[in-house]
Amino acid sequence: MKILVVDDEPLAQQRLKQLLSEFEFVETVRLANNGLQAVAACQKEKPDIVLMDIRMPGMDGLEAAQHISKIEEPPAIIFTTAYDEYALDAFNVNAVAYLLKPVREKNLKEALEKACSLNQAQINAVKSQHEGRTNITAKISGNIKLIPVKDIVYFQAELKYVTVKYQGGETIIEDTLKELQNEFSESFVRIHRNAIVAKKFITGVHRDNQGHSYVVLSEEEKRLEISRRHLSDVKRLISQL
Amino acid sequence: MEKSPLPEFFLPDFCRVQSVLMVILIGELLSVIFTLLNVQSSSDNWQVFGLYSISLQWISLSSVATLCLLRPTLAKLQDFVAGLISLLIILAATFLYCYITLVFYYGVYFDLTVVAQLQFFIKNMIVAGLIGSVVLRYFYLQQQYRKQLSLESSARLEALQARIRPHFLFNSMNVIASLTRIDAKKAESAIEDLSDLIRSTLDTNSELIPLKTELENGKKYLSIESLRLGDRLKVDWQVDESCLSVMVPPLSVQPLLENAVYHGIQMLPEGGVVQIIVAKKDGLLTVQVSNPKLAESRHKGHGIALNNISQRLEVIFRGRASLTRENLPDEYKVSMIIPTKPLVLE
Repeated sequence: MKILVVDDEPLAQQRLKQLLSEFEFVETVRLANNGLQAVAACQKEKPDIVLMDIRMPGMDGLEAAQHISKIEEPPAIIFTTAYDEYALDAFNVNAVAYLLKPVREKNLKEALEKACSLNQAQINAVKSQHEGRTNITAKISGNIKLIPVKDIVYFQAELKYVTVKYQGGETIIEDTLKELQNEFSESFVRIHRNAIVAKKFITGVHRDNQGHSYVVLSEEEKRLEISRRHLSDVKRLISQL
Repeated sequence: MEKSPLPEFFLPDFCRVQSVLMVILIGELLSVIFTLLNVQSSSDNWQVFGLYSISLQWISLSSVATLCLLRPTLAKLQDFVAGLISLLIILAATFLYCYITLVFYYGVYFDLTVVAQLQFFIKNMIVAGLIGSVVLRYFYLQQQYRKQLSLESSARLEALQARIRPHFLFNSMNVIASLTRIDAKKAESAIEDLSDLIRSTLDTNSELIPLKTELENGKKYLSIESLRLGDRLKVDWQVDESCLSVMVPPLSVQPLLENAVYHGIQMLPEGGVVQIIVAKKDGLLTVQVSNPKLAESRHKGHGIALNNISQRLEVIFRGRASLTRENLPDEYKVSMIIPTKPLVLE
C-alpha cells in the first residue's frame, strides 16, 4: 500500500510516518507540504491513500481533495485535523473519513483498512465547507491540470463546453458557467449569457458603430461582447474601478 | 487593581473639598424649599431664607466635620451601626444648635414658654432626623450599586480571561506526541511551556500582572509554535527593558501573538517574521505586534480575540487604554496602548 502524507508541519508529518512505518501492509510513505504538492504527487506517484491535513497554507486540504477526486482512479482520502469544529460536523453527517490529531495507532489502522475513495455526496460535503477554490481543475488526456484562479481572464461557454482562458493558454473544463459564477461572484462578472470575466482584467467598454458593446481586456486582444442585459452592470463596475 | 483603603464603607469621604461643597449646596437647596413653604406676604422672605441657611449650614457642616474625623472608626463597624451613629451625630449637632439659638437668640429677644421651647426642639429634631435618614439611605444605596457594578465587571473579566484556542491545544499535543519519539528533551520542555501557559489562563485572580510575566508567557507560546511550524516562524523582539515593570492585564499580549501566528505565519507557505515592539512614551506603554499575511486573506477571525482584549482594557482602564488594528495589504499590525500608572479607584 502506497501512502501520501500531506501536512505543513514537519513534526506532524514525522508522527504519521512513524506510525505508518509500524504497519506491515504499508510499502512506501511519501510526504507533501501543502495541497498543491499533494495534487502533483497524486498524479505522479498514484498513492492508494492520502492522509491529508485540512488547514494548510497555499492550497488547503479541502480544496486539494476536490482536485484529487477528479484524477482517474483517485486515491482514498482520509482527513487529519487537530480541531475543526465546522468541518467535523459535515464529516460526521456525510461520513468522510477523518482522524483527530494526535492520531491513535488503532484508529489509523482501522481508517486505512476501511479507506475508499470519496463518493459524490462526500465531495459535495467538502465543497460546502469551502468558500471558493484557488484553482480550477482541467482534465487533459487523463491527467488533471490546475489553473490558478488569479490567472484566469475569462470563462466562455461554447456549445457543450466551457473554455477557460488564462494567462498562458486556454483549455476546456467540465464546470458549468452557472456554478463558476456562483463560486467566484466576488472576482468575476457576467457580461453575456455565454461569458463571465475576471473583474481585474477589464480596462474599459468599447462600442462599435453597429451599437454592440465589448469589454476591453488588459491581457487579451480578443474583445468579448456584452449583452444588452448585462451592459449596465459592467458599466457600473467600471465606474467603481 | 489598586484599592482605596476603605472600599466597602458607604459614607463618602467628607474631608474632600468636593464633598463639602456638595453638602453646602444641598443645605442651600433645602433652605430654599423651607423658605418657599413658609412664604408670607407680610414678612421679609430674604431674612427667613438667611435664617434657614445659617441654621442648616451650621448643622450640616458640623455633622460633616465630625463624620470626616470619625470615618476611619465608623468604617470598621457594621453598616447598620455606623449608619445609626451617623444619624445620632446629625441629631446631636441639631440639638446643640437649637440649644445655642434658644439661649443666645430667642432667650434674649423673646420670652418663650417652656412648651414653646420644647416644641421648637422636637420639631427641629424630627426634621433633622428625617432628612438625615434619607441622605444616609441614599449613600448606602449608591454604595450598593457601585459594589454591584464592580462585581459584574470582575465576573465579566473572569469569563473573558479563561480562554485557550482548542486548535492550539490539540496541535501542541500532536507536536509533543511526535517529539516523544524523536527528541525527548524537547518534548519535556514543550510540556513545561504548555503547562505554564494553561496555568496562566486559569489564573483569574490577578487583574494586572507585570509586562515581564506576560511577555514570558508569550515567549513560551511562540516556542511551542516554532516547534510546530519549524523554520517558517521567526520572531523579532524589540523590548525596551524599562517597560517590563508596567502592569498589564494577563493574556493581553499572548493572544496578539496567537493571532499573528494563526492568521499570518501559518497561512504563508514560506512563513515569516512576527515582530514585537515594546516602548514607553509620555506615561503610555505601547506594545505593537505585526505579522506578514496573505494578500487576500480568506480567514476572518482576528476579531474575537481582539474584541475580548478591548473589552477587558475598557473595564480595567476606562477609556485610558486602546487597541488599534491596521490591516495593510500584506501586513497586519495591532497596537495596544496602556497607561504606565494603573488607575486608582476612588
